[in-house]
Amino acid sequence: MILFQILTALGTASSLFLVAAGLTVIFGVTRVVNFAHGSLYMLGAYVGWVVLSHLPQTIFGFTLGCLVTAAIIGVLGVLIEICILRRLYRVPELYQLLATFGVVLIAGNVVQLLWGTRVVTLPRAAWMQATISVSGHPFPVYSVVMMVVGPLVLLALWLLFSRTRWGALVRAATEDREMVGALGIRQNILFTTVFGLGAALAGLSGALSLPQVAATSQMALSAVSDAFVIVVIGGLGSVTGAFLASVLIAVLQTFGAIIIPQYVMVAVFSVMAVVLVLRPNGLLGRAGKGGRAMGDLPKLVEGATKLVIGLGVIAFIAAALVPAFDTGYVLSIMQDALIAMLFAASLHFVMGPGGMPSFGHAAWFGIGAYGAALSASSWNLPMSESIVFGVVTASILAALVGSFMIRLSGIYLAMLTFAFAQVIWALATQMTGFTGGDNGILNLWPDGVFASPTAFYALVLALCAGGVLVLRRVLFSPFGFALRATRDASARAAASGIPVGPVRHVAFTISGGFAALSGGLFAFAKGSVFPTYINVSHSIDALIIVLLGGIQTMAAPVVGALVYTGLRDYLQAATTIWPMLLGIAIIVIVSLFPQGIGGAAEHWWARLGSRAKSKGG
Amino acid sequence: MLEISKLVVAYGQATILQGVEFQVRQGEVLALLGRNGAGKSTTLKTIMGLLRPVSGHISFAGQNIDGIDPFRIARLGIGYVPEERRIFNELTVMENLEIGRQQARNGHAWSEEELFEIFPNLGGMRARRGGAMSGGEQQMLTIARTLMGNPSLVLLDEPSEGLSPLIVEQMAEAIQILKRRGITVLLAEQNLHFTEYLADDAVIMEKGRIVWSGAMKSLMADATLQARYLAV
Repeated sequence: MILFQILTALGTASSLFLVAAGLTVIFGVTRVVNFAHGSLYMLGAYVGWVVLSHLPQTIFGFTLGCLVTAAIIGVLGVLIEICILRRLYRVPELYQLLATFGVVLIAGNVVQLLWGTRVVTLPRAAWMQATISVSGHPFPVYSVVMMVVGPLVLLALWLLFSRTRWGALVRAATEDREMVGALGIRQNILFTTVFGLGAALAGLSGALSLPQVAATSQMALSAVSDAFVIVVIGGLGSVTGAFLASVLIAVLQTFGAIIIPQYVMVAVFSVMAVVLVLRPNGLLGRAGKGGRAMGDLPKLVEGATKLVIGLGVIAFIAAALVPAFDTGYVLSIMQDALIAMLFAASLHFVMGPGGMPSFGHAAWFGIGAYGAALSASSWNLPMSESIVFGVVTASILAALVGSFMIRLSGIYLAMLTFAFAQVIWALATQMTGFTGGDNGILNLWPDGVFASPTAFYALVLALCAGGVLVLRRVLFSPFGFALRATRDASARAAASGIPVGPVRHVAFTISGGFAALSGGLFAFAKGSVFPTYINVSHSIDALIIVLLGGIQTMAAPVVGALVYTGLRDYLQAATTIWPMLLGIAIIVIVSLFPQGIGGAAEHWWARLGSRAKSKGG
Repeated sequence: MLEISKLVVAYGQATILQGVEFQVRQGEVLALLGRNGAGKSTTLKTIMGLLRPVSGHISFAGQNIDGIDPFRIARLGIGYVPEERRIFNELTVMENLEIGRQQARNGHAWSEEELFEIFPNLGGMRARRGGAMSGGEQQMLTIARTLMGNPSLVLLDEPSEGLSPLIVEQMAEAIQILKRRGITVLLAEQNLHFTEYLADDAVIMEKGRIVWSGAMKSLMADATLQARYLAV
């Protein structure tokens, strides 16, 4: 029985490895974290389903079908690289990630349009169910095939990388791609082929897994989440590391599903945490060349000009006057925008000046929301106390999780926060007795003095505007300066007496607390909480708001929140293909304004100024 | 062969090169001298296309090359030996050379064996990883790797920096060989004595500008000039 489970685990490991190997190779060479990698896996499953349904149900037909699917997805990867990513290599890496998330939205929408929300399955052919005997136990041929595929692909990749000129070029580019260019190598072709290879592997995995995993439009994000975990554990850029990590995760998932079914993701995440504490660069990863800055040169965050302060005061007065005109729809839209603003400001705090990118900020929002909702519904706490309870819970958790998260930086941290949010999301969906699962927790309404919509709106306005101002004030305090010093030059900051770890830790905790406050307010604004609050897309919402606003621009969360929530709410109401439109919009905006809208505005403003100066002089 | 005019380069707000102008004639070794921070490395990187100039022009063999991709510049026949060497640590000596390989130019293509004659040390460590080599060996490998691209102009960024006198001597010999083979060399250096017998002409940079240019001999004869711009 245990042997059988181990074999199953190794089969799962193969399919995880194929996805993760592509992701890690693409990252190694292009430095792009391909969020859309899970989507390529998903497309592999759907395309594979179409292809395999038209082929004979033999082992030959299956092999051919999988290879054809891999080729199709590989070509798709090449097209994505040429049409989208190629324009973005000079852009800061977070923006590249955002662009690949645009691809996620588009791919998900395309699948939904073509196949709807139905679950697509491929029945196991007779040859797959046939068994062979291993030490007296019967094993399905399919499991054996799956088990062998991973090591075979590992071997093939190893030969490709160590025995061919192309492989040497890829390894050289992984180390120093600029130098490879200076030696006369056309990087574009190298990048395109690497991306195509990675995509093909993901597609192959999707097709191969069909007989055991049904294709759904949900599989993209869980696949990329798994792949992130594996790549981080294995070490970014290391194919062998990815293989070892795949086996580790597959074993955990397989046995976890038997022993602690509801906590599999928690177990996986805990293992990842342990590995990263012991080996911050993953099992086989190498230390990067110093901390890679998220932007080119982070510029100083300057104090607000009188103009900006004036606009802020006017905006606040306008927002305060809203209840005088409308207490229905407009008020609730304003409430959403204010809460989004505080949520985004808490992300901006940790990511911009703090230099700690988070791709799972919705985790803190969700913990705040669920903390408030659970304490209100189970213990009958009044609203104000339950919101405080949510904030305190989130802050304590942020302090705990932060203790190892702050050791990481850049893309590692982004992936880890993303995986953490997936864990919280999984808990919210799976612990149905506690959280109500997908049905959520209902009937939460403001009470006491805040019972009327106007009073609650006033509370939201006060706390959100106040929260943003407090975060702002902290950034201009000595603590804020120390925080920015740890971002820009952590070694120098440490040498000048700044306790780097504690400063980052406190910033991480503060950010979690404020995100939880926005979550708690949101719970009572909507009267309910759902796992969707913790969805990746919600984390991405905040990220888009901050990045669109411009990560080093103080007004970013405020401007971004208003523009983005408005745009999204409008699109959602207007059309069913809104994810695709949103995805395209993200890609276009990232290509046109790599500094964010706020950054671009500043840039133009500065250029205008210097032009005027040069004309005058 | 290489003409640079009114070259302005900036990192963000800071302007590093403020109108650099000089020429490199075919077949000569030109020393680009100056103290730390004068802008020598920036000049070489800009020629190679690794930095984009704000304004000004660079032309090579009659073709404008400012603002085009580094790989195209390399394929036109400019080889770049960076100050930090930038050997591929995970790759072997042979693989490092392989990355540098480009098509023959003027009917000649450097072979590994030919390069091992110039740098005998390298011949004995073909399978060694770049990261496991000493600084001097790495410096030789960078030059050899660049030559695999059959360049007609080589940009050398402080090749003598941090190396032992014995290795520096070997480096000087190698540069002599390049010169004899008709390869033009632009040699950025702080070490005046290293360039003394190698360079035909010299230009001196200070604070992002060319402040002097002339024959190497006249520079060596002028102690005041040396003291003013080059003494530490």
